[in-house]
This record gives sequence, structure tokens and C-alpha cells, in this order.
Amino acid sequence: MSNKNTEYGVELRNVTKRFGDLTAVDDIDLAVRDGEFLVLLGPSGCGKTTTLRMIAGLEVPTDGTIEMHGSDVTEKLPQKRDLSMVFQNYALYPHKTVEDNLRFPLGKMDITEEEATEKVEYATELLGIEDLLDKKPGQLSGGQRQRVALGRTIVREPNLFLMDEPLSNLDAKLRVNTRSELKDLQQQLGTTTVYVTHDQEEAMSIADRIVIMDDGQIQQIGTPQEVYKNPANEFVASFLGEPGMNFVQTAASSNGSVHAQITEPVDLEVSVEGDVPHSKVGVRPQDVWVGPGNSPGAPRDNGYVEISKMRLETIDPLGHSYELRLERGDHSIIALSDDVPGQVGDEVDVAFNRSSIHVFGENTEALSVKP
Amino acid sequence: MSVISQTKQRYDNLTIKQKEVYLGYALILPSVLLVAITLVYPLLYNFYLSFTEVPLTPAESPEWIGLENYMTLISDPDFLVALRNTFIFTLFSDIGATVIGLGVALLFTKEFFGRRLARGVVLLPYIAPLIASAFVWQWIWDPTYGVGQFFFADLLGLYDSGTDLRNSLTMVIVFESWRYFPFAFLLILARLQSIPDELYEAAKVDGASRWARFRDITLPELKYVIATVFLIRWIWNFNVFADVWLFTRDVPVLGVFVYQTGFNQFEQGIAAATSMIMLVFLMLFVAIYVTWVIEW
Repeated sequence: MSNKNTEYGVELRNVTKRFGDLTAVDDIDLAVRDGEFLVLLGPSGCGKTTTLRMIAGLEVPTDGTIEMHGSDVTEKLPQKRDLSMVFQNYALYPHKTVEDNLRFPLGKMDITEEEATEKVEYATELLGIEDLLDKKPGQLSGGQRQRVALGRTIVREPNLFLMDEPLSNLDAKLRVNTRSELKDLQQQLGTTTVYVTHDQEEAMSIADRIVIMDDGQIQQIGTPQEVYKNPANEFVASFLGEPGMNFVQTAASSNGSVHAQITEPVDLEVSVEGDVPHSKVGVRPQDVWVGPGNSPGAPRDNGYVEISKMRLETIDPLGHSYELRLERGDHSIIALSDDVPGQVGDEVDVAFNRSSIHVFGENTEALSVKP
Repeated sequence: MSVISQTKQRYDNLTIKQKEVYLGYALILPSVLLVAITLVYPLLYNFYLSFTEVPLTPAESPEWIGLENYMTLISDPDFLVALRNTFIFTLFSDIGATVIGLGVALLFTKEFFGRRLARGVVLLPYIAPLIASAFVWQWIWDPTYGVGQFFFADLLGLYDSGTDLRNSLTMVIVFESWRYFPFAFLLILARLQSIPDELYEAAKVDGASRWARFRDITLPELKYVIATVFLIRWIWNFNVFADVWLFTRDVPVLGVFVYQTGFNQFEQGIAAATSMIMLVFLMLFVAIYVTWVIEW
């Protein structure tokens, strides 16, 4: 039996995977804590699925090692790793009934027929799919198939669940419902789960910790709040949030103070610790204030600092608010606003919330900011 | 009013749906005529001939003799041998070609160096002209000069040197399996390549062995294509003439029997009756097969 006392269920050390000339995963270190719900998030081609498949044993790393509960499994076959996996298209066996699909993983275990039946019954009750047992996958709806695939994953009660975009084939509403059920299920069973998705909202809502990947490398690991509030670099900052973060070039300055440069340098009244060279500031659209051009100015009392006058280019109503696109010269800023500050073509005042300004260094890394 | 303008008037008064129906009939009419002339008429005429004695000169008409041709056939040992041969030949050459085709197709699911070239080579038996293949095979198994004879009898001692294998039913079955396995291979490979990898990966994660993956995923996914290949080959093999005739004159199957009876002995009534019996057997087989095996 595996030792459940180790803090880390799965550990990847210096893992690299190359396919010919393409480096899909580039020297990553990753430790999955026992019992946690870890989400690998990133754009397509970032290496998240390859990482998952290496944990599953469906791909063998080109370099590096993978350990599970302290023992090296790098070269072990998937069936020897005590894990189960949900595939993007569910991969239900089309010629078997739901019951036989659920029973299939049990066939390879050293248990009696009665025990197998009990396990199948437990899983079907947990997922509420008792009515589907005699049907074939082709007769099921997308949501039902997804449940059966989950059932097949949990029936064996493995040490680790792996899920490769399991909700991406469901329609929007079902996806939202299912993801909270999935989270509940995982908490109920307490099984370590590694979950791959490209949907940041899904990742935010479901994860204990999120691993953000790009270009084969891990960009940041943290709780959903951490990665959103304190992005480690420009990539994470721009990838999370919808619409994405605004970036503005900074002007050279001394003693760590930060000046945004849209037309002429504007003092943002924040500074970076240690007087490190910086190149950009980032502000989320929610933290941009837009006011009519003849207004008395930005609400300084609320911590806003005025940036520039800009032209209101588009107004997109989103229902709960408006998405505004503002331009000045080559610069473009997106703002989310509760009301419309003017008409398209008007000159408006634009201000940033000082407490929400991110500053990035010359290598795109986030710098710590003093107010 | 002229007839033409009356007809046109009547046509114009039809609903769109009725016009479409007439258009449909008009479009299939050429095919229906073609089938009627080349299939239906000969079939019915053959059915009629099977109850007659057909004179050698076209000036006389066939003489109605009722079931006598059929009576002659079921007491004719040559016919019974041909019938038996046909069943054995059809069954085993069909199984042979399908199993070899499946095996070779499975080899092609993995990437390997020169796969495209190998795929082309595998198709050769099917592409090569029958007459060439048949003669090459005759030479290979020639009891005096044949390379097959040299290798299997002289070198390996698997059978007595000088034995002529060419005239056996077994060799015809081997020849036919070899010649048509690429057909099974092509269809099976096409289906194999469309089985999603995810299924195999899921099975691996679920702990299934290689054999279990073949039995539980590959075979069920291939069921219909294998069943279809088997059915098509069965129909072709049952009616076989040229393949057997060119390879050996010593293995009478029903196709050969019909040819010899009709065009060597000029017993065309009996030949017609034999064809009818073949047709009935084939129809029975297809009906049973489609009902119970393919479950259409």
C-alpha cells in the first residue's frame, strides 16, 4: 500500500518533454499536495496536458523524474500508478453498457464479484446514475456521459484523479453546475486531483491551487486569489481576468517612483521597492476610472490618480456594466464602468486606482509596490 | 389544343410535390431499364431455361421438362462434389483472407520506417492481374522446378518432393486467401485508424492488458467492417470461376461445374438449374447472415 502520510502525493522534478524539435514541457518542478485540488491552467500548447499525461504515465518524460508518495514512477506503466483519469471526450467504451464501463477498471483488481458490485453501486448512487446502468454510451446525453466517465474514475478509489478538460464538451450552464458538483465530490472523497483546463473562470472556482503554465514552463503557482491579486509576471497578469489587464509603458525615473507614459510622464504616486528598473505598469479594467472631460477630476479621495485625457472609442454594454475602449495616440485602455461617461468621440478623464497598480520589471517579472 | 400543349397544361397544374415525384421517376428510369435488361431479364430467362432441355440449334425452342434437370443434379456425384468444394472453398478462403487482412492491418497501426511503401506492397496481390498471379503460383509450386517446392519440400522436408500440391482444394484456398487479403486489409485498416486513441489510453489507465484492449476495444469497433468484408467475400467466393479455373482444372467448384456443363457438354438446361441452386443458396446465406450476424 502507498504511504498516505507524505505531504506531497505527486512530485515532478526537472521534468522535460520533447516531441522532436518541440519542447512541450521545459524543466518544470511541481509538487502536488495530498488531498488537494490542483488545476493546471494555460493557453493551448502551454504543456498542461502533456504534464498531466506524464503524471498518468501515458507519456514518458524526456528528462527528469516523477515520484508518487516518495517512490519513483517515471518509467512505470499507467496501470501500476494507482490513478484514474477522465478524458476530454470521456473515452467511454462504446460497446459496453454503462454498468460494464464502470465495472471494467475493477476487473483488473483483486476483489470478489460482490465487492465489485458494491463499488459500482456506491459510485452510481454518488453520481445519481442508477437509471443509466443498462444503456450504452451512445444513448446518453453529454452530461450523462460525463457522469459515467466520472463514475469510472472514482469506482476504483485510486490515490489520484487526473482530469483533462472534463467539462469542455458541456454547454455553459451545465458546465457551471457540474464544476461545483465536481468540487463537492472531490472534497467528499478527499482524493488528490490534478485537473487541466484552459478556462480561467473554471480554474478559479474549482481549484485549491492553480498552476499557470505558458510555453512549457510554470509561470506561477498559488491559490486563485494569489494568482489573480499578485500575478508573478506579465503573462499571468494578462492571462487572468476578462477583459485582460491594461499595460502602460513607464518612463525612466529615479528612487523607485513610477511614472506612466501615455503622452507625457505622469507620476502614479507609487514606487517600487529597491529602486529596481521597471518597464510597464498594469491595471485591470475594473480599476480604471473614467469621467466626463468637464468633471472636477478623478476621485482622489478614493485613491485614484489621473493619467491622461483620452478619446472614448467604443462603448460595449455587458448588461451589468459597460466595457469602454479609450485611445490616445497609439495607447489603448479598456475600462469597466457602471455608467457611461459620455458619447463615442468625447474626450474623457482616465484615472487608475493606485492601490491596484502592478509594476513589472524589464524581464516581465512583477515588482513589489509601495503606495 | 394539341396533345403537347395539353400535356404541358396538365403538368403545370400539378403541385410541386407531384412534380418532384415525376422528376424522381424520370431520373431513375435509365437505371431501371439497364438493370431490367441486364439482370432481371437474364435471371427470369435462366429460371425458365432451368426447367427445359435446351437444343443446340437456336432455331428450335427449348423443350419443357419440368423438374427433371434438378432431379438429375441431386443424383449427380459430380455436382455434389462441386457443391461440397464450393462450401469448403468459400468458407476457408473467406476466413483466411479476413484473418490475414486483420493481422496485417494490426501491424500497420504502429508507425514504422517505410510504412507507406509497405502499405503499397501489401496491396500488390490484389492489384496484380489474376492471370499473372495464377501462373506465377503454378510455377512456384511446380513439382519439378518450383521454388516453393524447393524450399518447403527439398529444404525443409515439410512434404514429399515431387508431390504436386497445385491440384488440391487446400492450395486453391491458400491462393485465394493470399490474393484477397489486401481487400480485407484496406477496409479494416481504414476503420482501425478511426478508433480514438483515448479509448486505448483509458483502458491502459484502467489496467487492461494488451489482449484485453484488443478484445474489448479493437474487436468490437471492427465488428461491422469485418462482418461486411466477410459477407462481400462470401458472395464473390461462392460464385468464383476465373480464379479457380486459371489456377487448376482439378478442383471443380460450382462456377466451374456450370461452365463445363453449359459450354463443354452443352447441357444448358442443367447449367441453368445449377445457377438457380447457387442463387438460392447464396440468398439464403445472405438472409441468415444479415439477420443474425450483422443484425441490420
